[in-house]
Amino acid sequence: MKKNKFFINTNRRLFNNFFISGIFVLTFFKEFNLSFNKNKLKKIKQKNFVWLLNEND
Amino acid sequence: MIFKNFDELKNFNFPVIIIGSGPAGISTALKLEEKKIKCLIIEAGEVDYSDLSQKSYSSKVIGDQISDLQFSRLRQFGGTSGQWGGWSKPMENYNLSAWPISYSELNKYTNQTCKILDIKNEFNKSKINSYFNQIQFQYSQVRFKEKYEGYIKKSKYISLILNTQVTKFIGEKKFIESIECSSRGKIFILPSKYFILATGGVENSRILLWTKENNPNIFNKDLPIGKFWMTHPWFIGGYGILEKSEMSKHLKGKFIEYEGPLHVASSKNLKLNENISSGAIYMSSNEDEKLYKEIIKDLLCIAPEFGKKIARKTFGKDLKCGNIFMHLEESPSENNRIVLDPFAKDKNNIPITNLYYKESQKTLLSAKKILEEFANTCRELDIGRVALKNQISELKKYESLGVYHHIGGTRLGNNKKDSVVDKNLKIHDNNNLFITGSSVFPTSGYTNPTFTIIQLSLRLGDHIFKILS
Repeated sequence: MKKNKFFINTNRRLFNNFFISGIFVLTFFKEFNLSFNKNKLKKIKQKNFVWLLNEND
Repeated sequence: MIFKNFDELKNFNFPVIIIGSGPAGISTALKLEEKKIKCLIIEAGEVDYSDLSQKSYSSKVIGDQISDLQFSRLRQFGGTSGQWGGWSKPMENYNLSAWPISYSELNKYTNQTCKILDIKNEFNKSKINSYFNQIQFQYSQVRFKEKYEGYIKKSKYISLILNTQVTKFIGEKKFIESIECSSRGKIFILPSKYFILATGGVENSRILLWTKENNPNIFNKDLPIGKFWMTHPWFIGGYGILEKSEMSKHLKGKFIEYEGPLHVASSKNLKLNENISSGAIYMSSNEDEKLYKEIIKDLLCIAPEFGKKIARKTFGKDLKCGNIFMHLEESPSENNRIVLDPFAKDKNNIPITNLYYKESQKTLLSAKKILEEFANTCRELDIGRVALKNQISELKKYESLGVYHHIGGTRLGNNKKDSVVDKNLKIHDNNNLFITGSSVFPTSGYTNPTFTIIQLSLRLGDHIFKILS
């Protein structure tokens, strides 16, 4: 039982660590990607005009 | 004093005769009056607008069609100030680089020009980035006829005669002795010491060309009279949306808030780095609701994140949303020129003018570059978004909204081959004939010309005073 508890707790800790770092990594890449794309030019033709927009607009 | 007919003039002697009663002519006269010098202003038109008088301005445009030159100027007391837009501002220092007159020489007359135009001497400029500045115009409601009719009637130094057309100058090389005038069907000859031609960006060339045709030796033959004619191309470059609060945040309190359109001008850096003309961007103060809604709808569709942010502020005071008007400098070209029509003549038998005019490809290139850079500035600083018209983006054409500024034809400079007057506005190789007005501008800048016309005319008044004393 003790062994099992130990394994369960270890798994939980590992799972939590992976979960938190996963969220951290995802958030970091998302923010990085957003700021990377923030000023990236995107041209869109609409009717008789060409809009000059940001990628994340 | 205002004379009713030419016979009344016989007993008077005027050391200076000014031809034309528009902002240029009246401003010169005001400066001469300040120096206690008597002058006579001769105006071809009547006290108010009349169709008959205006007909003498009929002209033909050969090449790219622009506004009819018969109606984009006024032949009456006060000249075109009777219908001008009123937007006033000194020219940018960097737009005077080809002028033999410095910014500081003109700036001496800024205060007095503001008084004549009844405007504040406030022309702030806020740097948005290295390519753009927010700029400030002043709006003048002065009509020279209304402001100065009573004043001239009472003046001891300024005299005026209306309905009198100066047809040509009479004299020998280097010296003008008199002018030939036509008044109520009669021809008169009027002598004077100094003559100042101030009849606008078309008529100044016309009178000189007609004088030259009658007396080929009167002026230096090399002078490019009528050539290098320019205007300010004025058109819609695109549309867009600007958040004033975001712009204000970026300008850290230096945002210029005032009634009227939002004005942004290209900087010296943009002009030099890209080898383009300078230009100004205007967003109107009267929003077009239909267009406003269309722009918001477009943005919600193609830029949902930005669209949502903007939609909350729709029709609020913070948003400028609508057409983007452009007012550009035009490159001087020898081929854009005023010539006399070989056949058509006005009621005094003086040839009417033909204008050879072709829009410059550089104008289109400049419009595209300025708009693209402005669009990039807006999205990078997140102060707005801009769309270019396809025609401009593809460098096909711009659709002129009218040609109301007539510039060049008697440009100033040091070189006789590409200029007509010297830095004192005296015609090259002549002793007593001066020209003032937008016809002497060697380059146009993007700024509306009247403010500079008045500065130049006041400066000319001072110069005449120096010569006479």
